[in-house]
Amino acid sequence: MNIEAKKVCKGFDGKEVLRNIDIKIGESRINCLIGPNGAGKTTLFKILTLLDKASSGKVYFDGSPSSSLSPEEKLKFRRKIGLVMQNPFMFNTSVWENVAYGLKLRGDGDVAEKVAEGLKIVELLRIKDQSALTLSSGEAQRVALARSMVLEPEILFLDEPMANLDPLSAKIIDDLILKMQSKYNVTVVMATHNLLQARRFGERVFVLRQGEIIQKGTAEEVFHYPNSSFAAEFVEVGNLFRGKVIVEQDAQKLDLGKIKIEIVPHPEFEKTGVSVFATLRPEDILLSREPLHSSARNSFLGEIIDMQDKGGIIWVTLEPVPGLPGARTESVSTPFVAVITRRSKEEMGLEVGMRVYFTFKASCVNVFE
Amino acid sequence: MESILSALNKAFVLIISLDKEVFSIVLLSFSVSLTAVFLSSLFSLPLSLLLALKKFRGNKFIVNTINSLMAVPAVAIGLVVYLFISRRGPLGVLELLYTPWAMIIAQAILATPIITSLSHQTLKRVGAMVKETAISLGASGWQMVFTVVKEAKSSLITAFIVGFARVVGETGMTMMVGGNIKGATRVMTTAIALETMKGDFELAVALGIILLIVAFVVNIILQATQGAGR
Repeated sequence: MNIEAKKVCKGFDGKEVLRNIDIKIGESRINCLIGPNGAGKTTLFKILTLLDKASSGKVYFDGSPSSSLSPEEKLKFRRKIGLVMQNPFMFNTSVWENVAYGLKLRGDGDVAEKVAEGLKIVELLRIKDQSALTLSSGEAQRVALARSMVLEPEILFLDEPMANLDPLSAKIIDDLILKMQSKYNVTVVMATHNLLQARRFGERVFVLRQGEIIQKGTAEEVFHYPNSSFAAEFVEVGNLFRGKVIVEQDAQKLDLGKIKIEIVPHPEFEKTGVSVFATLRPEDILLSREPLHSSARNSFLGEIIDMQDKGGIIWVTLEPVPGLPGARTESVSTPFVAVITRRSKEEMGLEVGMRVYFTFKASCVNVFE
Repeated sequence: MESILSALNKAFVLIISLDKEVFSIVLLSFSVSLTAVFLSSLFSLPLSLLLALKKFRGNKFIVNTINSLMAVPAVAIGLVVYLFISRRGPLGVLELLYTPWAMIIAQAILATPIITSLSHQTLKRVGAMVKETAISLGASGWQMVFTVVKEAKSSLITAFIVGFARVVGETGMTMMVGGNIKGATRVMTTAIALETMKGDFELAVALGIILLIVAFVVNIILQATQGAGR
């Protein structure tokens, strides 16, 4: 089935929560809705799952507007849609009964078999008789996933499935979603403010800000070519700069103040002096102890001012060092962030205060107004 | 002091020997108040469900009204019921005055705002989450309502018990519409009031002890259900 929202708006007590939302679900297997807390993700989910009504605009279920559906038809669609909420509510009964709930409502014949299978996938079969109220938030999230998945929905909405979870539980849920998605072959719509997650999952990504979808596209498009500074900042491209377009030695460059970086010539920025944003992903920066002779157009000497271990991946913050071609002393700091593996760090013997060369291709710099 | 001890002594004899009069008064008290709570819940439960689960114009107004009705003195309810069911009242033909049914009606009216208000608070608290969860798992309207009631079960029982405790201990109103007729409408509270005024303390103390035990048991059940619920 497919769900399509057209010009959907929603307000609560005069406050506009959603504005002109156009979204179509059902084309891709995994869709990610990303945005900060309070962007309207949960409200949009409730409207798309028939839990709430839009203030204006229309939502179509397999082409029929929700306003024209009879209660029976609505129930029929609702039963093809699953929703796992951010803090799933557990019924005051056993884990088993919680998972069996939806199946019993439908008068399903194979309750026992399906519940056992669902609990097995989330690896909680051993606590099937435990009261669901005693579960940790990670376990509750897994039970909630199983509870929805055993109903074999055609579209499953997951609202911030990893929020409020410890890293280990988050990892388990993360793996589970992919496992279940492939097992039950369901279209997943996931709301998240976690970009790594969106990047890992999202075939199609929607960026929501203050109730508006400000960018939609494939994960590639959104993460590599964010179309606004908000999207860029939000997708945590790591390096977001503001600078002026200049032309130097026949090359189009971006003057960031301290250094000038070469970019791929953009016809739209031909007029020099235009102030633009540029993004550069940390994984596109190469670190070396010696100067590199390569095709990459940008290479600078930098001092390591910070290193952070984020689970095996090291985020290295570098400040360009003056005295090298392109570097000037008088300007404000322009730190660059690069990521390397822990092994690289150890092999190169990197430490804070050390100077290394950082190199990146002009084509990795994404420029937008 | 001696009179208290002797009254206590005789009261225990009355209770232990399962005195017929004590027994019938207690039985009537319970059957009247339980029937009243049952009738009240037939109205209170659907109303509190409606108020908690459905948004509609006037919802808040009804909730506020019910909360204010909790403060209405029982004797005022007794007076209104009296006027309605007395021979010259609009319901006079039913000849309900000074029957157990008169007491049941008055007690049911007294219990309704209490039970509705307490149930509504509970249902409002758990209702939204249960409702959304049930619906998102494919419950129809009725299945959702049933699930909400099931989830709020222990708190709803609490509301009924509080309502029961309130009406079983009510004296003035019950006396007004019931008449405290021996063997017909004499319940625990009205009997205690009468016997005390007569200076006949044994029966009064015996009933007082039973009333105390009832209050005690009700409290234990309350604690237990609240401990088991959310």
